[in-house]
Amino acid sequence: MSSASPDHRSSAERNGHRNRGSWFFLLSVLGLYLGVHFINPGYSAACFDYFINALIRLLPAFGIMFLLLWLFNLFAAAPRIAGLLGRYAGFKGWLFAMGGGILSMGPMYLWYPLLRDLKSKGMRTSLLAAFLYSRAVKIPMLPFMLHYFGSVYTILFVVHVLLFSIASGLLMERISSASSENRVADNE
Amino acid sequence: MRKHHLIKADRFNVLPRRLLNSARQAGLGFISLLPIMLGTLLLTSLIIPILPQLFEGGLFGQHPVIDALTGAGIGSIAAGQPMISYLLGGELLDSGVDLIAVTALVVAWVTVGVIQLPMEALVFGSRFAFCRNLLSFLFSLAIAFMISGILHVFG
Repeated sequence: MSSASPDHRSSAERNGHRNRGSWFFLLSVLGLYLGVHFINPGYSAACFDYFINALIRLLPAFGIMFLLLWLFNLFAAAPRIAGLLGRYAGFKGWLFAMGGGILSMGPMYLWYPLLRDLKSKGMRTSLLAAFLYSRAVKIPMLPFMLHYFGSVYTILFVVHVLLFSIASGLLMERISSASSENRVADNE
Repeated sequence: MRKHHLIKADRFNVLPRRLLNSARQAGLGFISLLPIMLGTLLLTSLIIPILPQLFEGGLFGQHPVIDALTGAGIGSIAAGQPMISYLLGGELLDSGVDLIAVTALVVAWVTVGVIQLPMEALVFGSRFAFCRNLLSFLFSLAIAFMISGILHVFG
């Protein structure tokens, strides 16, 4: 997972920062529980029971998620993803943009530096938009979706997101080319 | 000859090392995600019991279009990992929220970023950022209705 991150800081620094944030989030939520417990002990106990039951239900999904993360770390490296999203990739470019979006981990803004570099080196607007849109599909998290929504819904979800990522790319390219044509016309 | 054997033995050593390194990285990634997942699940568990009151208050459970708009609106404002939207969406669905609203929320959660909009505008230009987010918001509604419609017809 960390190998797929585009951030330019050292991976130890990045992981340390991310870990601190995650633990701080968990501690904040526990603090919130503590606050609720003081106000309404019965409610917080009921919520905690709900949490334990949900956690037990989700244990198999956690196992599958770990397995998928392991496979990603084995086969998907950040430089490989970046190299394949070039300007002249054509049909392959679409595949790699969408695949890269699906494989990209972490918050969207972590990917902005890499995407800005690719854009400055001639990456098509359509591929950029497709990358950002296809991030809605997260393969390691699909076990959770399968668990909650079922296989038919999950397949429909993935297919729709991928189709709409193409539509988003094409429309965004049309919008940006129209705006640049307008700028040229204004200058003339 | 001996050198050839050494190279061959080296190749045999590389694969287990790569597998172990990947497992280690996956483990570290998993551990770094674990507090977020547990925290999200805890937070969701704290919200779920008050959902019926929210229904009574009129947040969800109205017209499908309003539900979808509410879901997409919440998803657009919320900034977080896709995993959180899957977990929250699943728990909302289990507690009776309509599939249209949940799908709109899940799709908008990742594709629309109102909080990140200024940053996106700085990096890619304001026109790109605004149009992309607006399109993504509309697409989240379209996807929600399409999936729900397909499931309604064929399910």
